[in-house]
Order: sequence, then C-alpha cells, then structure tokens
Amino acid sequence: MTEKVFVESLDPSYRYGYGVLMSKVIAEHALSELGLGGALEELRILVDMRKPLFAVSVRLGPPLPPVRVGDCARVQEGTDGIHVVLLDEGQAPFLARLLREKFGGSLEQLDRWEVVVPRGVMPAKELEGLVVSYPEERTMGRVMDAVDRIIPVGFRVRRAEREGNSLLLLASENPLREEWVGEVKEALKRPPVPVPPEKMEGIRRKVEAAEILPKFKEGAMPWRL
Amino acid sequence: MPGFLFEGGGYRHQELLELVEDLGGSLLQVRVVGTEVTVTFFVPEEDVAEVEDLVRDLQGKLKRLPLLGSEIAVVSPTITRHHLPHPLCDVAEYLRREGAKTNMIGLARGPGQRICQISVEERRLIEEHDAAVFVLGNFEYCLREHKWRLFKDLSVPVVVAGGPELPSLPHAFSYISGLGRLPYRTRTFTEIGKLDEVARAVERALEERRRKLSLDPPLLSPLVLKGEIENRLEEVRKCGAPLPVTPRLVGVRVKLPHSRFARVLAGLEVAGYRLGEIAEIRRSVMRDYILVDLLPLSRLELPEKGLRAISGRAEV
Repeated sequence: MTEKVFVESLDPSYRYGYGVLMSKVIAEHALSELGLGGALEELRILVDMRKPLFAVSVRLGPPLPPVRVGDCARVQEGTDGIHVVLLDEGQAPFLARLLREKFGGSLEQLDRWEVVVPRGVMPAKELEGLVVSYPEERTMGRVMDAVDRIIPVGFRVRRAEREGNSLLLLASENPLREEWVGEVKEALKRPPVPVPPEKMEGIRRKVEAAEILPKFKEGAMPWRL
Repeated sequence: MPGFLFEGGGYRHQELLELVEDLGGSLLQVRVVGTEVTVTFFVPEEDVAEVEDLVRDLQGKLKRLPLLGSEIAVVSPTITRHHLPHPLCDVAEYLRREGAKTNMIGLARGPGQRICQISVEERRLIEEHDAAVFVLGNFEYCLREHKWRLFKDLSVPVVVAGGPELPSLPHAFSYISGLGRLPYRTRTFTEIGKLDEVARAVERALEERRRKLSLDPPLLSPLVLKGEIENRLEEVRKCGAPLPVTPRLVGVRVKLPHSRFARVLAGLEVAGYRLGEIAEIRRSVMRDYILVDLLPLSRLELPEKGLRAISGRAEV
C-alpha cells in the first residue's frame, strides 16, 4: 500500500521529534477509525511547535459515485408488489427516507430489512436506479472530523482554505500570521518526503516485536506472593 | 503496614477477617458477591507470613497492593477525545489495580502553550489528594517550556507522563516517557511496563511523603480513624458512594454532606478526644464531601487531662 500520510517539521532542529512522528500515528489511526483510507489521496501534516503552528493539508480522492437502490438492496418483483430487501444497513436511514418520500403510506414493511412497494406504482428497473445517497457529501464531514482529531486541542485559531479537491487547515493558539501561511504553502509545493522507517522504530506500535519484560514472565510476578 | 487484596471463596473467609483484626491490622473493604469474597486489608509487615499461611489453607489468592490507602488524582489537560479516554483511563485503572483510589480530573483550560492554566479551585481539588499524575502530550517543546506551569504550585508530589524521552521536568517529582497522547489502549507488554513505571513512581512519591509525615506524625492512623467513623456513624453505612470513608495519607474523606455532618464528626469521640480537637474538618471541593485532616503532634499541646487542639482552623 502506498503511503498516504506524511509529516514534516517546519522547525529544522526538531525534524524527527517524537511529537512530529507521533502525529503521523495519530493521523493514521484517525483515518482508520473513520474509514477514510480510500477517500483520501494524500494527507500532509506540517508542524512547528515554536511558533506554534500546526497545518494539515488533505487531497481528496476521485469523487465517489452516488449510491443507488440497486447497490444497497435487492429488488424483486412479487405477486403483492415489489419487494425491496436491504443489504447494506449503513444505507438504511437514507433508503427509508427515499422510499417514504416516494411512496408515502402505501408501503408495507414486512420486517426490519424488507418493505413492499405496491404493484404498478413504479417499474422495478426504475426503482433500482433511484439515488439513495451521495457519499461525497458525507465524506467531507468525516474528513473535517479526522482533521479535528489530529490537530492539538489547544490550537483554536484556525484558517481553512478549500480549492478543488484539496483542503488546507492551519491552526495555532496565537493569531495566524501571513508569513506563516506563505511558509506552509511554500513547503506544500515541494513533494512530500516519507519518514525513514528506522525513525518510526519505537514510535509505531509493533505487537509482534514486543518484548516480554522479565518481571512479566510467568512465575515472576513481584506483586504476587 | 503493607496492603493486600484477598480473592477467594466465601467459605471460612471470616477466619481471615478475624486474623487481620487479631494481628492489629485494618480491614479496608469486604465485598461478598455470590460465593466470592474480595477483601482489602493492611497487616503489619512482620505478620505477613501468618496471613500467607491462612490464605494458602483457604486456597485463595493474595496480592500485594503497594498503593492501598492512598487517593491519587489522575489529571488530563482537557476532557476532549484528544486526551481521553485511552492513556488516562489506562493509568487510572492500573493505579486502581495497585490499590490506589483514583479520581480522574480534566482541567478546564489545560491545553496549549501560552494559554494553558489551572484555576485555584482545580488546584485545591488536586491538593486534596495524596499525589497527582499528569498525563500530558507528545511535544518536547510544550512540556519543557510551558506545561510545568500546570503543576508548579501544587503542594502534593506530581508524577508526569508524557511522550518524548526527557531526563526530568521542572517541578515534577518524576517524569515517565512513552505515555503521551496515544490513539489506542495500552496492550503490549512494553506499554504495560510504562504503566508499571508510573505506579512505581507514585509509590516512591508516597513513600517520600510518608517519611516526611513520620517526622511529625498525627495522634492516630487514618485507618484507625476510618474504622472509628464507620463504627460510630450509622449514616456512613447507608451512604451509596463507593468506599464512603476513603483513607488518605493525612486523614480521611467522608462522603457525606458537609452541611449536615461536619458538626457531628467534630463532636465524635475518638481515642478519648473530640475529633474536632485533633483534626481539621473542612469542606471538600469535590461535591459537598467532608475532608478530615489529622493534625500533627506539633500542632497539639498536651494538657494534664489529655490533648487539646491549638489550631484555630478547625471547623467545629
């Protein structure tokens, strides 16, 4: 998998500092928790704690296509009407709202996953093509949530710039100066530099390599008599 | 006196309770759930072997709790998801397993560099505890240059946990690295080893505090006071709070409303004296609880008929 998260320190004396490298781990966890791995092409974090300044630049991936009824449910013609069986529960609220708006009270709900659209209201083929939701709209909300989780909580003075499919967010606890913005934009023009793997040793958790401390080995528990 | 946790069956556990009392120890908590019993207690160091023999006979488990009888504040700069729950809950839970009674405190304006601050009320709340553990962030510059302002004026020992490797931090009793802002729970042995380091640092801080207190000790032990309050005050038994009389190094915290029970406590006769004479009774910043701080012997004078408090600060 290609690397998507890059961290850089704008302060040359703190290039591979613990906090800078840990920001990469925090960002990777935030993206993983919010299921954003596929939606982003690149996320760059620029840090200078002496100013203090924390910048996050996000480049979104290609826009996701809208979800249609056929993508999230099975549509079957029956004797009593068209049966719509939900397959992706994540789309349940959007599909329920769509069907309620289109067919109102004439719907019959058989159980949690299945509804029946009365016969003759709409052809099954047309029903399959109806748009349930636009994931693109919801992705931006989740991206902002991820960025908010990455930026230190005390940095409340913020400035956001959105251009096409990219977003730049600068944060500080002091008023943001124009020269800082220029410095960040200048740094973003350069291609991202990945962190050498040896620098991430001891920063990123490695369960396999975890060494059992002597005092935790079996039969060597000092607190137990 | 070292503290212990006994876990075993309910059958014959009364023998353990009797032994602890016979040895001059103190029972902190006895919890019977179904057929299982959990007992936390103190016994004198020289009598530990006798307790071990009985526990072996009862086929129960015995665990040494080095932090038993202490109340520790685990402090975070905020209560946002940046600082909670992972590192803070892990530290608090580990200290609890080591016997401490922990209270988690999130500061109102703790984050940031220039803007980080601690209010007088927060400081008073933390100072009610025996020691404090501050779980801070990952940036060396912030820790070195700014964050020490949060604990500079605290009168209790402060153990700081943070991310980067640093030899020490100004105004901190001890600094433990590798436990800063983490996006995950501590699971590996290396991470749990870090929690163990925090517990050992707290243990050292408490030892240091105990040593200082022993130079001018109070008239009686907080554990004795706890037993007396529980025996005399009926309302304590009806109180729903966990550990309604919490022992601390210098006294106890009684989880009853100050407005109603401070006067009752002050009049309570303990070891031949009124509690108001040998202890300072004040309102806790935490809810409306009562703090009982036992006065050291130097602040008491010995009249012919016994001790009399010379402190004018006692609320009676």
